[in-house]
Amino acid sequence: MKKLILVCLIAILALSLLNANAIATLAAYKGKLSIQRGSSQLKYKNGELLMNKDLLKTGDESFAAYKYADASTTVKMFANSIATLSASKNGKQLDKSVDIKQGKVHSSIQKGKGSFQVITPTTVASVKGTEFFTQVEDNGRSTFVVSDGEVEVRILATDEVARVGKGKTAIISPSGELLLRDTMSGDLSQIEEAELEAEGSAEPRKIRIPMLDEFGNLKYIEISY
Amino acid sequence: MKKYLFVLIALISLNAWAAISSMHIPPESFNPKQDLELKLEILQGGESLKRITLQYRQVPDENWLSSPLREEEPGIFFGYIPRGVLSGEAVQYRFEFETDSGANEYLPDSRSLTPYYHLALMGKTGTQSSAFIRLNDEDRISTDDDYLLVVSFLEIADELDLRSLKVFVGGREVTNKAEISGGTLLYRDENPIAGIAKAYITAKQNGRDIHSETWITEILPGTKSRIPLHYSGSINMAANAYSPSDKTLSFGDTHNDFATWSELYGSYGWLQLSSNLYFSSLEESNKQPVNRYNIGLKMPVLEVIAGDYSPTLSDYSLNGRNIRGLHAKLDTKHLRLHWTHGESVRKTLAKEDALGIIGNDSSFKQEAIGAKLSIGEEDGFSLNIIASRHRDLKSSLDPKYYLLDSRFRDGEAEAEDPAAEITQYKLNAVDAAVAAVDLRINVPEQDVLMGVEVAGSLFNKNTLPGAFSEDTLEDYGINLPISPSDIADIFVINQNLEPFGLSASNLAWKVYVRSYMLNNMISVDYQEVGNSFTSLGSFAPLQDARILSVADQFHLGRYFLLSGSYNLTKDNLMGFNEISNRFQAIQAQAILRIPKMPQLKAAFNLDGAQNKKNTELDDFDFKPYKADRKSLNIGMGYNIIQIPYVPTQIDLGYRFGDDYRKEIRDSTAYTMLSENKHNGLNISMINRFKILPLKTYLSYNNGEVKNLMGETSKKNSRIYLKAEYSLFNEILKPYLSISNSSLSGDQDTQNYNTIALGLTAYPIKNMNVNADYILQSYKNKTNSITDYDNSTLRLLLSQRF
Repeated sequence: MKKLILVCLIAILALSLLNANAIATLAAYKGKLSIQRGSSQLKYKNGELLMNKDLLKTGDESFAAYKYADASTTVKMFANSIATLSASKNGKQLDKSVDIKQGKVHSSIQKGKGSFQVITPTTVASVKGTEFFTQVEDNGRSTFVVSDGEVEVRILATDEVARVGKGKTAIISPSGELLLRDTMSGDLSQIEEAELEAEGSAEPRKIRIPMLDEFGNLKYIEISY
Repeated sequence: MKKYLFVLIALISLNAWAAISSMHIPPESFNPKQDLELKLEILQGGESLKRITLQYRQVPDENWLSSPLREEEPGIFFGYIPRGVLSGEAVQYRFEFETDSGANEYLPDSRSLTPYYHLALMGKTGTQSSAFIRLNDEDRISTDDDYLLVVSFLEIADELDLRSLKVFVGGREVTNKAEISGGTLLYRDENPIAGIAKAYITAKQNGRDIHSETWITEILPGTKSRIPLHYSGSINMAANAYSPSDKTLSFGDTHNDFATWSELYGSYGWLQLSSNLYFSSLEESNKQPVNRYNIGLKMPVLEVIAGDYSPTLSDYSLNGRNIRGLHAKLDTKHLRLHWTHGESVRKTLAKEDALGIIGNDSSFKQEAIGAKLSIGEEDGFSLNIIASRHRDLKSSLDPKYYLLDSRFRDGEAEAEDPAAEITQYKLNAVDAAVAAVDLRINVPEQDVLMGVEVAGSLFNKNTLPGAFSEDTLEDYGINLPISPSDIADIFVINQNLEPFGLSASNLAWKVYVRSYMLNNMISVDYQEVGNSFTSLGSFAPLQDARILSVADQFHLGRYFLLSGSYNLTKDNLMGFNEISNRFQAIQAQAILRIPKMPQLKAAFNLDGAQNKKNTELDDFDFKPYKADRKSLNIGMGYNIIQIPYVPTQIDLGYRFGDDYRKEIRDSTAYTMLSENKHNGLNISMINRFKILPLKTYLSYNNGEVKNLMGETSKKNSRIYLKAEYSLFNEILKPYLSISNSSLSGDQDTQNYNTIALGLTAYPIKNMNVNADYILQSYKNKTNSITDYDNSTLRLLLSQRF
């Protein structure tokens, strides 16, 4: 009987672990995007619900954006980026994080709806209501460009903590050295380039607006955008 | 908006043109989580009722689904619109009365400006919660895109009863198509329809009703052509098995029966397909057909139906009678053509035994053809020309069945009597044709519809001798521009025409007006029908009569309703009869419904008849009579929600009236032939328990009929109890009911006892199953040899999709 109870408890625990709840939704994507859930590739469409530990990978000239379930945080991944999203409930709030292995990611966060962390190979950046850009290079160098609000970065190698405010850029080398300076135009141009690359070659969408001509015949105006 | 006026009002039934008087008070709205119960009370004319069907549809569907009403108590019928259909924002319904004569009547009347009841959703119940947050923010998309609704309710996910969560998009519940995970919901429509899509969510949070805001998305036409496929319908089955102790004594039908019927509707782009099938074990080749089937195809301007169909060309030609054949409608804005051809009635065919003796008289198969040409717009002025013809097919019957011939006399072949010059018939084949012209003016913006129809008929009571020859025409001194033999395929002209020659007696005409003004729904009809006017394709009113019908329905919001009708029929229009009869019927109903106050209702019926001598004819022995019947029903209803744990709805009613028939000797003296008074009381109570999923129903009726001349009094009383319990969140609802009716007074003391045990189940989505086991017993204390028992097993299964 005790063995049976133990087996049941383990089964319940296993089931609860398998019972993943959605933490975000795929808001937009373009080009090559793969979503890995566990060991399998997920078939997805716009709006797809994303679960804890889903891994997103964008290819060349590709883009993906997702929004967390508490509607407070939108994350945009640009070309050739790899990120794993996570979240856990903390009372009525959602504590969120994104683990960036490589690539460029832009985060937009609203205050007061749970914490948000960006994790790179060298750094953990905690955000409390802000907008900033993160880039992780192949060699592990992480760059944080803050356009609004404040980001607190903790360097994993040295446990050093620094606050990066609006208009500041923090660069952490693979060895854990921190460089904090004002944001330069070159830093911004990277962001702009990434945005343009994401949006520039997006497939045009079309709508047709019905109208009546002078003879009362039904015609359509087609608009591409 | 006026078209949906019934949303705001509880309308009292009124059938100005019908023989059945009924009362139905629609609910103010409906709750999509519960079956919608509808109560219908038959006040008068219930003897001619065969069946009552509830037809319903979810707005904006155009196709009706149907389910039969159940008579819980004498004259009281209950029907249910299943909650699966109530997932939209509005529902429409109507009642169909099938009478013994074959005519179908509708409530509301099918000819009124709003021929159905329209109910809106109770509205989002509870409070609006800001915890529902839409995560995707497209306000405008095209039909090329998927319609997405991604909503987060993370903040209240732990407090929400997920089973209560419902998603509504475009007026329909789409919860079963939504993906819900944790505190997030995703609904996707890959084939959105252009227009405005409104979406919202309802749920229970800690037992309290909450709802989201309404999210609006504009869906514009895209560039890709998509052909959406839609289908809907229902499949139903009903069976009754009876076990009477003595079939000769048992009341009502005791033949086991089984029926299955289906309604299927589908659309693919502009193409629509429909099919209605009805099969019953009561079908017998020697009787009127019970089975029905048809399949229809509808395109933008053309509709074709094969099978059973009741075309409506005009009131006097083809109207409401079933024709099994082919029907086609060509419908354009300014021109419409309707054509129908088939078999109208299949009558009994006699069977010959081994000795050649014919048991029963026979009848012919009847062919029906009808056509209608409409010129003009339906929402405007239109001219309609209609023609129809019914013909008994001589070829459908062996001559020995209709010829009264000596060769077939006494079942043995005899030599033909050479002295017999006149061929006699024991059965006649008829031809009947109607031609009509109908002018209509319809102004929907002004809520006015008026028209006039003039029709003439030709009737040949025996076409078996064939058409006149040229010689015969000369003998009769008749000159016709065409030869009767040339048109014999269309209509047979011979000496059996009734009347012989065209006159006013062949004609019928009517004028009508329907209008809605100043909260009044008014309709006025006047018609005159000649004594020889014959229409086999419609349920034409009395021949040789003039009929006036006036009806009005007045309302003040949803608080006060008053409706009334007056019908006057006078026969002997042509003045050939010695006696003229005059019939009048007055109906009035009123309801007063003030919020939080008792509801008051009243219904008055008066039927009168009188005869009159035709003074233009020679004097004869005439006995004038007068007959009258009137009754008044008054009632009060109140929903006592203040009773803790058991909200109770109480209805009280009292009815009284009298009828008499007297022979009038002069202006002051008369001889009473019969005189009766009746009165009755009814009390009913419905309790809906809150702490238990239990509903009980109790009713008590008593009545008395006094014969004032015979000084006798007959009394009756009835008590009815029903308890219904819900299990597994209303998936199973067993019930038990008991009733006892007793008759006493100046009649045999009799008792009818009924015990019924039943179950209503909703095993899967959109399916409901009803099973009942009923035990009945009849005891006559004065004449016990008439006692009998009966048990009935009933099963009804319905699946909608």
